[in-house]
Amino acid sequence: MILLRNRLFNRIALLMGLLLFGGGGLALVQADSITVNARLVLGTGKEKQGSKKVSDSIRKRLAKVFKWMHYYQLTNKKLTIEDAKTKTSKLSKNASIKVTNQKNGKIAVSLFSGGKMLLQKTQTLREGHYMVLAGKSTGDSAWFIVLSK
Amino acid sequence: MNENEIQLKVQALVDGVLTGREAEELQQRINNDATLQQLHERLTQMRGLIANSELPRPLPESGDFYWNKIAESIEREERAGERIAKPTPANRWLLRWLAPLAGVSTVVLLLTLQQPTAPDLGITLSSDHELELSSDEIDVMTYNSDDDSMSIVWLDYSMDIQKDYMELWLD
Repeated sequence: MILLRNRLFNRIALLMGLLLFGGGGLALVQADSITVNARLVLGTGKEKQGSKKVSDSIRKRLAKVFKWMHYYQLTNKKLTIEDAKTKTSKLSKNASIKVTNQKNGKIAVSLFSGGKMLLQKTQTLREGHYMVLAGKSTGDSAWFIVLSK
Repeated sequence: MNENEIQLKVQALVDGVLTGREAEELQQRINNDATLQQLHERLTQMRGLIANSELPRPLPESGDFYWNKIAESIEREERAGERIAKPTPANRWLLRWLAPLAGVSTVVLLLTLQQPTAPDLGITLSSDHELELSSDEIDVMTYNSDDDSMSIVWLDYSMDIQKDYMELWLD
């Protein structure tokens, strides 16, 4: 009877140990991975009915700097990237980004157009902060790739 | 013999160029002609004056020795010039290495100065921002909001994202 109790106790202890170790490991992985939102935004002077508008936070920030008053979200991709890993996301037919999770919240974003790398920007991206890559588009409009955590 | 020729002959006589019979005949003619006598006297006086007023310039040494000294000094200067022109072995070594080195350094400096630099946009990125352009043909402008909550990189690169976006959906 005592032997059975000891075995049971040992098994429970082992299970608890495994749970703790595994959970800790999982927590560790989760702590190092980051989630980056990558939005493809169109900035125009004219209102486009039926198009999805960007959040007020982004619109206000962009409108403060640029002449366009209307900003529409064409794509929104959520990238969960583990530490020291890279993920690629296609935002339009030609435009794609490659995001690398560097240490201490630092990310490196490479912008590609038609397979050709245009630039790479590296910076620490904090919660509530935005990294924006932008350029001209057809007519009186502009493209914006807005990255945030 | 015309008058001019006779005057020249008198001058030659005074200079001692005429000799012998020619000199005797001219002397007789002078003795018989008052004008020629006058000319002869004037020329003789003139010669005497010139001869007396010319300052003697004696050489400090004998003529040969004097010219030898000049020749030696010229040779000495030529030898000194050759000594300056011919580099010593150490100088030759320095010239052999320093001249190409200086040339290469100059070329490197010129190339460095001529390298295209990024356009000065007058905007400084925060310390942890790094921007790397893959093409020099694309101009960029960067902007950081006052509170550093938004960083923007504006590329002089056009993309028709509306069409791209539609094609992506049709894929």
